[in-house]
Amino acid sequence: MNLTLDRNLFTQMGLDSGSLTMLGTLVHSFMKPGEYRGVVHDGPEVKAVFTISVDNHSPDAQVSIDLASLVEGTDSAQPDGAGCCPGSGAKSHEPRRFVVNPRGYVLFHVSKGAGGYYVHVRRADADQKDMGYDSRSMAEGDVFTAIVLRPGAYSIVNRSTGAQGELIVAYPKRAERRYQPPAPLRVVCSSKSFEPSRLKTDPGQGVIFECRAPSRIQIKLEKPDDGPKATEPVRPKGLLVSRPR
Amino acid sequence: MSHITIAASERAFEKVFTLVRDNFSFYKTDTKSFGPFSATYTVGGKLSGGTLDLHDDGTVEVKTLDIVWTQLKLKVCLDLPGFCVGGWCIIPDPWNGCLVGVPRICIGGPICIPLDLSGLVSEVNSIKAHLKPVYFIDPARNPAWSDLEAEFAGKPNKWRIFLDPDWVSVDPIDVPASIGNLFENLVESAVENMLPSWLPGWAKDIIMAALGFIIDTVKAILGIADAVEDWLSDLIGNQLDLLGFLETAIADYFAAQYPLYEFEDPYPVLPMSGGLIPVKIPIRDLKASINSKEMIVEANVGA
Repeated sequence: MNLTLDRNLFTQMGLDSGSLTMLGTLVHSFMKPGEYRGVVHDGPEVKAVFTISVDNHSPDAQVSIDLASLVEGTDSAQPDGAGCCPGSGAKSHEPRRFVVNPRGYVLFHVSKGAGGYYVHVRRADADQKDMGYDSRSMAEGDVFTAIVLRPGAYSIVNRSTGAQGELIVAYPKRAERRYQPPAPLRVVCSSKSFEPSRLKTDPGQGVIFECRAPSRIQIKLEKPDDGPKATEPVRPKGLLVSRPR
Repeated sequence: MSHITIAASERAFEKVFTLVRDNFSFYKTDTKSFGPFSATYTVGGKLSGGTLDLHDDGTVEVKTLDIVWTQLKLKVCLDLPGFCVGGWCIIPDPWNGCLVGVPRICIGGPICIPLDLSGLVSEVNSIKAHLKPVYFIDPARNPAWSDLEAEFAGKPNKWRIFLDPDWVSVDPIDVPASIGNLFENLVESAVENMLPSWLPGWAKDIIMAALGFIIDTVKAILGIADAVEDWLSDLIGNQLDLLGFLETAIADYFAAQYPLYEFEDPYPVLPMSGGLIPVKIPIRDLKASINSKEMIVEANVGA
């Protein structure tokens, strides 16, 4: 077996709910039935389009949308292998279509690569004034999940409300027992603050931000923790003498 | 009564033994497979120390003879089964398990653990031997040559007296307990070496912490039930049969490769001088024996 490792997991420090990467996930619920048209952005650039059908008759309470696969046009869930976007290597110009029950939710994530995407979703029949849903500003009820691997001290800022918090990610300890991160922490993002605002996690432990107000969560590394200095294995010095037992 | 009798005191015998002992060296390199793992070794060494006891029953006993392993390098290679870490669930899904999880990182493949135990000293518990005279005819000697022609050609026949071991008992190699920690560090290093070099130290520490039990896994593959040093001692001594190799090498060396004494036959009494050929007497019926005080060589002058 060979090592399968995405470099971005270990080189991207910090997270931004408005710029999704591999270690961030966003959950949104489209409560009104109808046809929605979504666009995946990488900054100002449109990378992919998709549609979401919010259908009362749908048995699907959830749908996961992998933005990386949409951008690459290799979404494995596509029945005919069709992609979404011109110029993206797609086999078809038909946008990928997702179906979900209005009481369910849509999960946006990035399965590989550098990411840095946000989505903009509008009802197909919306009028000009309807700005739709922009993931750069999460709505009340949205959930943003952040997994911070790199040990250190982080600042947490809600760009929409100005709320601030801090996060300490402990350095891993090698032990005889296999390390398993504890259960994720839950943080409520209210209009004024994070509750709790001071967090301490272990590497790989998730932090779930529940939005009670419009939010854009940014987590920034302030002070890295490089742990104890590595010690090289040392060969015992001197003559190794063995004697009969 | 013999025509010729030569005696060497115990002290003189010890000096001769020291010369023979110091000329001994061994070297071996090989690879052996044990199913789940393989071991490649390169060993070399020499003998040192030792005490001699001469007995009236005609035997010599060598005790506490050190084996100095000037080179004892061992490389144990195994195929580490694939392990995946991560995949921890962050948001449980009430319908089918897990909605959001940490990506899985998989690791596995062949690893090698290099161990350098050079400098280790073990011991030959005892060698019990008797003297054995052997008549030696140089294989390069032309059968048509006379003794004189053979001497001129530098290939005379010889009587050789070897110390022929009745047994050689080599003690198990007692690997120091400190090797246990070294071994575990080396296993971790070998696994870490499978990770990409660009991976920062903290990320390696996370993965290694997640693997956690890797030392136990490697020990299970290698069949290490108890202490690492005991396992290594058994591997080197018994499974790789280096104890057997050493016992054979030592016995063969003393019994057939390096004699304690050797005499030309015919034995030169007067050297070649002034155009005259050397005067030599043939040696026959050479016998070598030993008692608690000295070594005695007896022979007859033959026709």
